[in-house]
Amino acid sequence: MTPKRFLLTLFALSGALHSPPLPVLFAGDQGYREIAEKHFSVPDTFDIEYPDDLEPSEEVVELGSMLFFDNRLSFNESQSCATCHNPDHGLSDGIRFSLGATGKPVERNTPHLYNLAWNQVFFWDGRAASLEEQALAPIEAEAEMNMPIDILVDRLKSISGYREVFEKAYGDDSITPDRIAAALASFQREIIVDNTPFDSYLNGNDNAISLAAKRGMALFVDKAACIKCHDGANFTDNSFHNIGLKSEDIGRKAIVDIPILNKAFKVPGLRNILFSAPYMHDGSIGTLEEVVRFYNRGGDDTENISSLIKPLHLNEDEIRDLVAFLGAINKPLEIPRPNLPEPNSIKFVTKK
Amino acid sequence: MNTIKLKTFVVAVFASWITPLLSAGEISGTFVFESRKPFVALVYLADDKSGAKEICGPLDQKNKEFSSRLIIGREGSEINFKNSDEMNHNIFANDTRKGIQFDVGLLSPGSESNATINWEEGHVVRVGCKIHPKMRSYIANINSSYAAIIEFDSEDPETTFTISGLPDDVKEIVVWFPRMENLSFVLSKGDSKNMDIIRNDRKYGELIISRI
Repeated sequence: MTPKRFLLTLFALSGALHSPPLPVLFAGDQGYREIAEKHFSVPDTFDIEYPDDLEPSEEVVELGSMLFFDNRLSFNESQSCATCHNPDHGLSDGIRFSLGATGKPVERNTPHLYNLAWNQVFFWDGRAASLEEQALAPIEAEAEMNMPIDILVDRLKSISGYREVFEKAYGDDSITPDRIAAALASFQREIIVDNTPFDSYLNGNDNAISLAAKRGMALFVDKAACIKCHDGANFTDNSFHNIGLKSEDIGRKAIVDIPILNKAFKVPGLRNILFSAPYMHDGSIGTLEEVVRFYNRGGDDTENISSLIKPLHLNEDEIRDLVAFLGAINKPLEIPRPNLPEPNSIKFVTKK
Repeated sequence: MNTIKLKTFVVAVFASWITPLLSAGEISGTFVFESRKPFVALVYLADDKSGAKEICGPLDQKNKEFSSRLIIGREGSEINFKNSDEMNHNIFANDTRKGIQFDVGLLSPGSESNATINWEEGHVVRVGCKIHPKMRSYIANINSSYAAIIEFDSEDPETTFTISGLPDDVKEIVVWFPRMENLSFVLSKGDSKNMDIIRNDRKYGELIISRI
């Protein structure tokens, strides 16, 4: 981490630190609480829509965790899902464009995976309608893990430990693409951040976040109007907007061919956003402060820009307050690494 | 963790405008779900062909939600779409199974557009917004004057509805839900039934229904 990023991170995190005890309630505290209760909530697991409304078993989630962390899911066994979605880097990898298994950079910034259980659409362009649909795409993509699914199935079948884990999870040792996808999706649905300092504030602890963060929350709702897209318990409405980045990537328009979606990308959730820099679909902005400044000037390319993106006229104090609020919706999440099934034989497979 | 307090309500029970006789029959039902409830349900008398009246229309958009979870009309009905929100929306349908597609294009704040119900009777089409994929609503083509739309939005496990003013010779009940198996059965005056609500061979709930 560069010294500059370290200082900005420290500053953002300060929004999450307890304020010094106040002798009396600050005059605005009740007002801030009313804003918070009107516009925000802690994620509710009741609202998660599981496939067929069935929560996965612990065994399926454990299998998904193994698959997520196993390099053998890439063709040359150099990368797992966790290589780019690294829990130590905010379930991203800290670089602008991740390198695929063959060493070439991918075309979009790696998005974080926090609280996807509530998401409606997946990938920056929303081309997958479920986590199950999403799960296999990066594995199969040549630019990413470069692994044909039939070879992956054969490889997993050749590992007796995996046959046992699939049997524990599903009742028999059949290994299929659907089961791989379901296990990965089930694991990802368990990655939940719902105990940030801001959640503590929402649950009644007035001192859980700083006064700067409270001011930032009010700005988030009102003057900066971030909430027009970053709404709900996970700070996203899953919508698509051209926010005015200088980029040639047509984004959502490649999936839904209407003009307003040209260069539009999905609104990401903001929980634990502090940990997954750099930001935007192209990873072109390095810090949350720079992100706020980008929106404050109304974007950089106004052609086909969303009508919601306008200069905000925030002053320097307000910019810092917004960053403080963004710093209050984070909580480091420990994701334990599973023990992976040992290889029981070496098998080389030639790609068709 | 916060608990969202939800409130059960029946959005619309209609046909009261055609209740000429106090002696006309009435159906009352109770939905009981064991876990997650459906987004919406439509109950109607399919053997009545006196013509649906559009209810809950026009279909408006505000606060990134449709104004109704389901609206009904009959073949040829014009559905009026509005955008009363402060941001752009769109309304489209893409029912590939039935080949039903329409797209009203960009609906800027304050604008309106129309689409015509031209699909088969009894079919319900999902509509959405291409900018806000979370938004959804349904449009049903039915030709019955006797129907109820039930929006489930509660932690209360039971949701009730009534359809009144029924002639005795109208008996075929259809219950439609998104992502659940439809129910279809005959209910004559004096009958009571308990019907399981099924999805993928699993019971999700029950409809307890009776007619007087």
